[in-house]
Amino acid sequence: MQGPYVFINDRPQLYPLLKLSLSLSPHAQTKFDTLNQHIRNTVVLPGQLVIIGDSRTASCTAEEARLMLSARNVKHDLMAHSAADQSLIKNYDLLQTIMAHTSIGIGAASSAWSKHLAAIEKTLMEIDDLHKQYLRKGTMGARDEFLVKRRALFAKLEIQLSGMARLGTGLKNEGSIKKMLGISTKSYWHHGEIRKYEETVKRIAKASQMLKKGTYIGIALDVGVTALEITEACSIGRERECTRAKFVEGGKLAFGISGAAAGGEIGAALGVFACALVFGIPTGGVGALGCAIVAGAAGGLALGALGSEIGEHAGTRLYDVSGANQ
Amino acid sequence: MTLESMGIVSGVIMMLSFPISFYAMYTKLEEAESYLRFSTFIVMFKHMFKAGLFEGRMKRLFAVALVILMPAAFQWRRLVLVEDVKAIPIRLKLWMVMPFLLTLFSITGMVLSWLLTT
Repeated sequence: MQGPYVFINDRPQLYPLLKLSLSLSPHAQTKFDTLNQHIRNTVVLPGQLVIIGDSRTASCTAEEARLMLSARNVKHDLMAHSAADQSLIKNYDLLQTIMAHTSIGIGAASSAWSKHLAAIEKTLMEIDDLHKQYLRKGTMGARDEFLVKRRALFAKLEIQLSGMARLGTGLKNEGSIKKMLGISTKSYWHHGEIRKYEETVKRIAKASQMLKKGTYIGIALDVGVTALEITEACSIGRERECTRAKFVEGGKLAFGISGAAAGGEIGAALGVFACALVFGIPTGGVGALGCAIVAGAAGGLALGALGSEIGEHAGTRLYDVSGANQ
Repeated sequence: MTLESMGIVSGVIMMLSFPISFYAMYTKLEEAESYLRFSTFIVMFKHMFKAGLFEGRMKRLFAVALVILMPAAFQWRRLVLVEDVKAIPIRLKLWMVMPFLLTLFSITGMVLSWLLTT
């Protein structure tokens, strides 16, 4: 491949494993370490940029320096936002993920079907190998050879996946093979696109900062409702009702907010854990976030309501004990 | 103790556990996370919730507590290394686990009192 290239990491993985999966030559590996200081010896997060150096030279070029700066900026912005928006990590080389999906299939009912699925998997592996070989060689001649070989493999895959044969592969019918596999020659990004990606990450970082305010608004609404209840009770003019409302509504608010907070927090943690354990979902994907949101919301809602109910009892007890009802 | 009292006491324990959780969140959490810096579960959890309320520290605290309580289960899914968990000092482990267990205990009390009274 001519010049340096960049791709977006698709799932959380340790740096050495990511490096290993690229099958780089020893010379390219040294340069890879230099160029990817921003992710070196860490867990590489989805969305982070991975730079593959220009194989024609051992020293760093100006272009590579620019890419390193972009990668650092993206890392900085990614750190500032939560993984709530996964749309930014959709455009990357999905081949590895597809591999995992194809192995799952529909249970491979018959041996003939399992052979068929194995053949599809083999073709996908060949395409993957071809990509890696292309990355290793990095010449114009290699690019032409790569395109020819890839076309042949795609044609083979098209036949293997035609009609009912697609069933069980985990691949959806989405038109062209390239689209279905989620790969294209753009999988490894060019410089103009990196600039756009950087901007998107920055925008999302800002949006997620705004989302954070949602919780405060929720608490403010709860406090507002409590204040209204107390005001209403006190405006009627009965002293006893007013005092009682302060105890009861105060108890409901304190226990309700505590319950919702504890339920939401513990629910989210347990939700992600349960999904990771039971379904084996990747911890960084949309699935993990979905589990956290569902379990967190359910926990917060249930414990919030329960806390409110218990708070009402606690407030009534306190009111009785305080002697204000005398 | 009546069931209603059990619910109230559990609720009070829950509220009292918050200061302990906050202390652990702001003084001990990062140290514990540094022991688990190669765990995809902990790193991704931190990344996912960092933009949330209190930088998602409470969720992160509970996640670390879960890992400490059940390291083998996480290792089974290749989300953490048992050796990394073992390297965490006992006192630090206690600081992580105690708020989690207190919260879980109080939630259980509240739910039980509600279930048995309705």
